[in-house]
Amino acid sequence: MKNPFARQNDYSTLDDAALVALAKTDRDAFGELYERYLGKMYSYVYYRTGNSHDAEDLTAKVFLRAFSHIGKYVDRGLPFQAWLYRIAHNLVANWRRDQSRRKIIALEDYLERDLQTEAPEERAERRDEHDSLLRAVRRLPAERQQLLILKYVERMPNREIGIIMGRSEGAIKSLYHRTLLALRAELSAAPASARENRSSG
Amino acid sequence: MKPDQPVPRENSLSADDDQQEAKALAQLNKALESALISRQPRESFARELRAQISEDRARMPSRMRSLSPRLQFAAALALAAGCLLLMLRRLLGGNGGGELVEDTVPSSA
Repeated sequence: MKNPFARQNDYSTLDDAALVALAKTDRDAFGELYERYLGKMYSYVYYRTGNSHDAEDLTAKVFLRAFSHIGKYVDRGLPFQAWLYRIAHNLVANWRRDQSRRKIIALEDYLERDLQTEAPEERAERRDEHDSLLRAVRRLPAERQQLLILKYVERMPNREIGIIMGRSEGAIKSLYHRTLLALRAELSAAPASARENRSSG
Repeated sequence: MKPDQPVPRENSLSADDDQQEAKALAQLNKALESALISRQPRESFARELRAQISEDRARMPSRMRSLSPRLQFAAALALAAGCLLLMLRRLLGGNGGGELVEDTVPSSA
């Protein structure tokens, strides 16, 4: 007898729109969407929060919220991931509001793991550079952070970023340029203090 | 300023500035490329979250929704039949409730 629940093998061949339609009544279809976007949502939240603990907590919230609201999801022609990014964006905004008085933890776990192959001095130098760069990124307005994450982490073209952020391709291009200028200004505003810290440490 | 004077110094400085800015932005772009890389959550976290989502299957409405349309129809039919039976029983209870009570509760005699 054919098992009516043994349909999950077919999910990998379906596109997002078909999966979302199924996910309204079928949890396995949502499971496939979860597998597809877990990494993306985690990366996004990780770079917005700056630590893996809060990134996991918020990533779980993103999927649980999406799971509980998928029945009400209306396909307006936007990609499904735009909806997930919006949920993540809102949750991070709430998180930041709650954490505004708490110091953000450094990205030690990320830096430790990625710089193991280098010499200690080089590693320390690169760690400082990465750390100050990522801190500067997190000081940018939310939409600029989102743009940088989508562009560099997800390697999305401007057109796709525009769809997700609800802007035209030209507007994204312009925002990207302004973001780089703002980031450079952020970095040049604090290099002296970073150098002082390194020499004293 | 005479018209045959050399190119104003400001213009050449501005071109230099532009070049320097372009170089600085290219460096920043490179730094971002190496700093912002894709991240993956811990496997145990991914498994637990997946299980948490799947656990909702245990809830009745979710379970109903995960059934095929034919089974959903059968379940709804069974539910309607049950409700009908209860209503009939109540109606019959009005006419011959005493008889039913006598059937279920044996008399001491």
